[in-house]
Amino acid sequence: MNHRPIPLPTNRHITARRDQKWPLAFALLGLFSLTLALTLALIGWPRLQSVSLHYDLIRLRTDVEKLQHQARDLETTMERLRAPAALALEAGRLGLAPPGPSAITADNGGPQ
Amino acid sequence: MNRARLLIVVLVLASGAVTVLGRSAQVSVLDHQYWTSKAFEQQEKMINIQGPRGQILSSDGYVLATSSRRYALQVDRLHLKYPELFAAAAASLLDETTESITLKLKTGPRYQWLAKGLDADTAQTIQALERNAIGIVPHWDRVYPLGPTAAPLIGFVGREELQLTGRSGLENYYETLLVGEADRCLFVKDAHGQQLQLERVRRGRAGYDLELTLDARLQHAAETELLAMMESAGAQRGSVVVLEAHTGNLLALASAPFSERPSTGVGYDSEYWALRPVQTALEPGSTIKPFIAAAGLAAGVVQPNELFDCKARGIRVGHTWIRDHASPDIYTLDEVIVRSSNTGIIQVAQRLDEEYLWQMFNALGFGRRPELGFASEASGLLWPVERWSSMSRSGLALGQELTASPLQLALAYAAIANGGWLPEPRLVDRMRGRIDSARDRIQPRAHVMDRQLADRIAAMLEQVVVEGTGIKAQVPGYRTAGKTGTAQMAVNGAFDDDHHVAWFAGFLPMPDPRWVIVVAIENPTETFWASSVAAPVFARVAQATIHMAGLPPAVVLPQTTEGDA
Repeated sequence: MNHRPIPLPTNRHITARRDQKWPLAFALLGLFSLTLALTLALIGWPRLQSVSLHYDLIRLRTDVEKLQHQARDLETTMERLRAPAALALEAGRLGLAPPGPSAITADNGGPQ
Repeated sequence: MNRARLLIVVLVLASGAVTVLGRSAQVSVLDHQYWTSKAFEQQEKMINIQGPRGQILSSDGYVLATSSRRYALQVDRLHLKYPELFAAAAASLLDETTESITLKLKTGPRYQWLAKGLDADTAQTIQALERNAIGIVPHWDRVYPLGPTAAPLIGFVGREELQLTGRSGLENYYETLLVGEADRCLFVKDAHGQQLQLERVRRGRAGYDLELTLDARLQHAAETELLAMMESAGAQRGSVVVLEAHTGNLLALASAPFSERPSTGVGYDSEYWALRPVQTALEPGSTIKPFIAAAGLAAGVVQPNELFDCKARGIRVGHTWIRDHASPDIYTLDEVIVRSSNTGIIQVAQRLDEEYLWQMFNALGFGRRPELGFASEASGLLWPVERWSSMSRSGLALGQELTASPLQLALAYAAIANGGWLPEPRLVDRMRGRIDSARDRIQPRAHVMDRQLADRIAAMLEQVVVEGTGIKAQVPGYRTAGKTGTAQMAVNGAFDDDHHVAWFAGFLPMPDPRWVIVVAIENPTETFWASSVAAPVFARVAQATIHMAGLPPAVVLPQTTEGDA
């Protein structure tokens, strides 16, 4: 007796199509992710860097300004210390005085 | 029915949507400008923050005036939660009493200046006490590192809000150059008025620096010597001018009394801020005699070896008897100057044509401003010939019927010292940062005297110091020349014997003088003779000038153990 196998229920076409598209979907998703990552890397990272640099610049400018003011204040202090009146006071304290005629040496070499 | 209801609902919703969209369009499109400006008004404000004023520098590299960054604190009374606690905490940091700070915080407008001129650390510490109510605003303070040196010349600044404005001296005269341009800053605040951001949108420019011809060390020396003599002579006021004879560069302009710094105009006393060598005109007395002698020689009314009879201890001019303090004798013209004889010089003056005499004084710069570049320069007094009386020539010969500032006299003496050229005075050497610097400008000079005549007068003046009234103006090792002058001062329109001005005008080193020095001491009470009061100051300032220049002695010094001239 010819026994014919009973055909199994199948949705061969559907399964086959689904099975065929999943890799493609994954590939597309991967590609999209890669593109996104690349875009972020290429655009976002430099922007992030530039923002960071901007903040660094602001901080450095503030530092420069602060140092300039500090330098100016130090110059002023130095000017105060080397002022003729301040030096005269200090010289007097150390016993120094302007030279008198006896301390001047004439052109002939000897004290006159 | 259902359809009708649905239509009504749709219509209501649609009209609502249209209203919202319409209003939205009105706000964002039609009234865009209005609302944008309203928002900017609330959130943003453009403010000007003044840059530093230019520095004022001396020719020897000292900073006479500079600017220093400081901070002001502004308090918003509306956002100050605990005024009493804040006042108690801030009082010690601001060196004020709690009560005074509380008073500031409880009265007046919403925004109050709490303090100005603070350093950054103090300002930040105080702001941290009430961060929401205290704002920090940077500003500049004026600093004078050399203290009172050249104070009347440099002047001072006042403050309007946070802006500094020159009120006196060079600070005032060169205000537009010193002030610079303000930084334009964007001030962003939130709905509560709190500062979010302060961003500079346009960089300003610092003021131009003024480089003076002044020598700070010589200025200090001149002031010291002047004050010392004023104290010992019991004088009230005084001036010293040190001028380069060939260029007109002013190396020192000492004026006394002067104020101790700093001043912001509070309790301002013009007596202490007047630059007397430039702004005060006085009777020049006998210092004018060399010019009368020069006029006599130039006009040919005096013969080279002519003798003048000065035996009478005076001379009658009209109905007036004019005394002569010189020893009675017969003098040559040179001796008239050396002995400072009133009789001799009046005889010369009376031979001169009035117009000629006026022209001579005018050519030497008397009676007109020297155009130094300073506020209220004294022009002195030189009456036109039409107003002269029969006494005028004699009065002028004695330096009593005209007035001159010490600067004018120094310029006239420079003409004798440099061979006859009247120099233009220069105080500002250049403005650093400007293209049209003063240094590049050609200084016009007038030729007012022949070289031979100038040399002849200079020789007379050297003899004044060697053997005449100016013997105390000698500087050991150097040849100096000059003339004393003891003038009566006009008080309430008349001369008396109680008010004098002691002058010494001279130059050195001979025979090719480089510097002119004029000393004027007003109202000395101990002794009023110029030979004792003004001549020694000349000698000391001359010595300081020589030291600064490093000039070696030109004549053999006498054996001495003294330490002073």
